[in-house]
Amino acid sequence: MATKQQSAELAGTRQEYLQVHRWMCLSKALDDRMHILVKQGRAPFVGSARGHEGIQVCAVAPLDRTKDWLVPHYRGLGSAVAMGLTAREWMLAVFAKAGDPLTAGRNIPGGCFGYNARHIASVSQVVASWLPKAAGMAYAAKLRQEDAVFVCTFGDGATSEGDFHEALNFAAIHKLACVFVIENNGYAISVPLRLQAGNPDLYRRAAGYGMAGAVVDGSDVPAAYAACKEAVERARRGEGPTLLEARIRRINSHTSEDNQGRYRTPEDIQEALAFDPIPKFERWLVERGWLTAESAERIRAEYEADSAEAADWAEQEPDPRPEDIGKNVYAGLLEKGVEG
Amino acid sequence: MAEKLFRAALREALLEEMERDESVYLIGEDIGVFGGAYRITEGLLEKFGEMRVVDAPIAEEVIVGSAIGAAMTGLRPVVEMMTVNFSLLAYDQVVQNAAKIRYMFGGKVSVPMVIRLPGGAGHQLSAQHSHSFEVLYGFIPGLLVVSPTTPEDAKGLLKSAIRTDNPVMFMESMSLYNTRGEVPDEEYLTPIGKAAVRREGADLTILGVSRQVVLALAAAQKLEDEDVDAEVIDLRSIRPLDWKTIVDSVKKTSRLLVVEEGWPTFGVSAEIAAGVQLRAFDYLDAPVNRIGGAEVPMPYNQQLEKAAIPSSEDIVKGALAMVGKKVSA
Repeated sequence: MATKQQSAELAGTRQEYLQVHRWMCLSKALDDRMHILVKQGRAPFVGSARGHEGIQVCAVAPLDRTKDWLVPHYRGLGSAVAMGLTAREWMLAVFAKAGDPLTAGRNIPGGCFGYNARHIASVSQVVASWLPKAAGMAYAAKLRQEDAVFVCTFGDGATSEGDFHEALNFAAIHKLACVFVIENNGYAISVPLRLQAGNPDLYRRAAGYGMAGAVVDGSDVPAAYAACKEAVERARRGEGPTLLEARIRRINSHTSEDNQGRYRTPEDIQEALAFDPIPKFERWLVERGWLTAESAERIRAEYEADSAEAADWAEQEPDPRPEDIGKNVYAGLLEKGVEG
Repeated sequence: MAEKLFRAALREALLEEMERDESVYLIGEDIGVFGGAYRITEGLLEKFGEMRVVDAPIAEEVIVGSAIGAAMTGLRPVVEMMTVNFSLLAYDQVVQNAAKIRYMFGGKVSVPMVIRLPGGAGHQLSAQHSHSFEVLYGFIPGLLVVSPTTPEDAKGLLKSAIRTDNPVMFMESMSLYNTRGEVPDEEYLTPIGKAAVRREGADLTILGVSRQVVLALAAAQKLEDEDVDAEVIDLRSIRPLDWKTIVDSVKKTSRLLVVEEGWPTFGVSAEIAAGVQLRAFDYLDAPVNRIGGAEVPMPYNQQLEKAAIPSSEDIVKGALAMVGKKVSA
């Protein structure tokens, strides 16, 4: 049981941790449902966030949703859920329906999505190309003298891209309110970190840019929450960006197009399960008496049912109309096409 | 009306739009203290401060990428690429992001930005600094691509480019920066998507892309001596193309010669030739003719460079061949 002393040292309140747990469970439920839909041949694709839920939710949990923004990577379902994305909204995107609030059925969900109403900025599938955008959004906020914070998430593979370097350098030059979160799961599709970086301590690059750097066990939710909160508060105070490396394990294959058995040993895949942040966090909550095994089970079952219901509902919604294929290529008078 | 330098007209457009709209800011290499590699932004740092005139690190991906991010939040960045040649470093940001974001997100996000792209050959800058890349951007749905050839249009088109909610690739011929022309004193905008007839004629149409309009007008002057009455069109907008102006002219003259400085294979002139034969086949008295740059990396030697880009003599020869005449001795 937690003593008063220990509780006082925690970065979050009981209420905040329970909310984090709920978001993680919703993310997992949606993820699991997508895998079922792909197996059933009902949905075309899934890019799984399994194993990433802890850091993804913690990265945005400290944000002020009225002014801060998430600039996520394509594996960012947990972060999106924590920004308020609902099961039904996500499933509209999974089935690429006309009412899909993320992309209007124009883009791969879990590949590329943006949602202004929830302060989720459009991302790109081209690895790391959203990092300069996060820096630009933060620059715009600085120009407008707003104190908004921009959390930008990406994987370890993204740190090899030129965009990573250019964006971090620019953010450091202008002391922008960015939190760059590396979700380091050790693999960029099949390429392990040892072939991705000469120095496996990715967070140490922060020193080279002149920004704060930190590393955290991303499967340890209370630790991740504390690290993210500290980085967000630093950005809010105008003290500049942070490069935060969260070490996690990828539980599933890169996407439904991939089979990780081709490049990971069965032991490696099995071991990753021990770093599943959800059971680990639930044990922690139960130890503190903030959750019971039964209520955890109930919450998971509730979200599984919600996800299934959302999928069945979304599947019946109308598809985009072929005659609208040319809409939104251009703004304004040119909307009908270049011959307008 | 007052006569102004092309470069001064561009600067005026930036100045006026920055005064009019606080969401307009400039970013690029050496555009602040130095005033820009071509002195287009001179004095703007002093007037608007460091936050709105950003001297960027040499990092084209983040110059364009950050501008896209800022534009997505409603700012109106005007990027200066030191030259169009370096824009290739940011090609992914332009093609995969700026051009597609609006469509990819169901029209909920716009990217109101301008990328100014000084380019073209003729200055002995050789293979990697002399490109005409109209076609690389004209090919991409989601982008607007314009290229002014007069100081009046330089100002009017730049102001329109800043005000549209679409990403605009603003191609500037470096050779035109020191040319002069009349610029209206009052506020005006040059519409994007409209070509301009610069000279009326009856015997053939010469359509110039970017600076080639200047050469085409010089050629038309020489053609007068050969009793050939050439019409000259300034394309101004590469995407969208102004088919109406082009086709109306072809219907009148029945002959079309398209001139561009870039490599003609798969070029702007190829697209125009294809479009004209579809729209005005029955009016054509000759195949659409094209003149472009030599299909080689631009050579450094002055004589070789001259041989690699179209000249007004080339245009005269091409035009005379189309009307069945030879250059008189």
